[in-house]
Amino acid sequence: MSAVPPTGSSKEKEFGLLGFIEGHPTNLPDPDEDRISSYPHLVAREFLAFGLMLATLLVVSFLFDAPLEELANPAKTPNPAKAPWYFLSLQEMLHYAPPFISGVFIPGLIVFIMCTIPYWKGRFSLAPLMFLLCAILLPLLDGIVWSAIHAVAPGFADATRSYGFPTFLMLIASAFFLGKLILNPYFDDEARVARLRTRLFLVFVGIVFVLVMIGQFFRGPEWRWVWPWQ
Amino acid sequence: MSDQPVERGLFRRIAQAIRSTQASQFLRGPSDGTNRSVFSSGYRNALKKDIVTSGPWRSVFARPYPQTPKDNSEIAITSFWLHLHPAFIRRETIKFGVTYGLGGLACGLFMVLAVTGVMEMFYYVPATDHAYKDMVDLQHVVSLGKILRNMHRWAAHAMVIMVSLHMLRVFLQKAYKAPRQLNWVVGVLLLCLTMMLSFTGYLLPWDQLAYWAITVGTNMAGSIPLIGPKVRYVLLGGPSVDQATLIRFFVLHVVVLPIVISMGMVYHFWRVRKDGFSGGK
Repeated sequence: MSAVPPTGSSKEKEFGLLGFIEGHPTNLPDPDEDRISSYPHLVAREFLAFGLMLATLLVVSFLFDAPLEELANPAKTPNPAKAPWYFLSLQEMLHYAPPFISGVFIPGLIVFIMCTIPYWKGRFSLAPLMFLLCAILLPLLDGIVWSAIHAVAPGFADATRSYGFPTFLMLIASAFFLGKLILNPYFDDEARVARLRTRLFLVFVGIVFVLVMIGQFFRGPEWRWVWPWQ
Repeated sequence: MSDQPVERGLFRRIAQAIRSTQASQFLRGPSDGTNRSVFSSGYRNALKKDIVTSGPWRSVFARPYPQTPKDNSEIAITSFWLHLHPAFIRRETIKFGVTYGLGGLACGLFMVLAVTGVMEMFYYVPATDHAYKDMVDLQHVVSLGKILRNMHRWAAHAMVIMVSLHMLRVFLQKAYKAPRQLNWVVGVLLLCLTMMLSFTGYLLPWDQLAYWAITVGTNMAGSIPLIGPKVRYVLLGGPSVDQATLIRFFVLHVVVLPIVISMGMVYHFWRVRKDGFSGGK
């Protein structure tokens, strides 16, 4: 007859309970949430949306023909030669500032700032959006400021024209201005910051939209302003 | 079926296999008033059962057609085609007004563009003395060629719009916040890739619109201080828009950029699943 070890002896004990934590395990779905299986609920909606999209596309394709102009002719420059509509905001800026600023530097800056948006915290989350606004307005201001510099020092203005000297000047100035603005105690309130962030982004999107519309409908030969009915 | 002795002889075995299907057993069932014609719903159900329990069906789909809630929850994980989805999803999040389906529609438009683009490639030759003629042929000679080209063009415009609206939606819902920061960055790059895809496709018809839009676009790149002319030369493959430019834009449009954006999309979708919810505060 073998000896039965008493219960609770150290040989049998393999784990201990340290304590309880109130609440719900974080790595499991919340049982209180109203959850449904993705098949068929979500999958059916996806198929429906795709079908409707395809049907709409077919109808549009039957009704409207894609433009095809005459054969490419390097000797005959159309006036104006317009870029695809999503680049018309750039082309519109090209009207105000030198090509490097409005065609390369500003778009690159905008993409870079866009990428950094999620990494700014608290009141500093306003900074990338203010920079976005500055970036889109810079070419317009560049033209004005350059004219002012040209009136005072024409030689210097002409020599630095293609490098967008006024743009860099304003970029530095706006960085100081933004720093002062963000350190304002007004932005201690997170709700205010969130509201302003949304509004700044909408203004930025609005400016891009307006520039595209101007480029598409209000620009004629020599990129002069024309009304759509002219 | 299994309790019966296996018949000897090929034809007898085939006949036995047919007799033992649910469908033929339904037809030969007792005449107790139920409709036992091949047009009855009972026959349809029996046939469906035969198909989904057959060897070929099970080898493709791994399990019968999902019929119970348990099947529904498992198929999202076991099916290759559905494994992008989680097994369960909050009822709130699949409402149309939450996402407006913009990202999904952009992905759907990309699929339409891939299919119509490949079909266009059967007719299109990227040569300066050929490209425009091929476009005119596609419009007027090829059956439904005009519709094909229209679909590709309008879907391309729609995709740029959808991706832009998707980004606006994600920003306004603050869905870019932790832990989804990187996916926002991937999304911004995908928007740029979408525009580049559209822009490289713009040259291919080799008409006036294409030629001069690309000339304007590449002149911007040529304006970068110091390295600008070199960058422009690399883009064009020469001093001006010519045959070398056409083949460069063609290869970028049909091979390089589609592969890059596909990999980017796969990563984008995978991160959406892995990152989880961004509280949206």
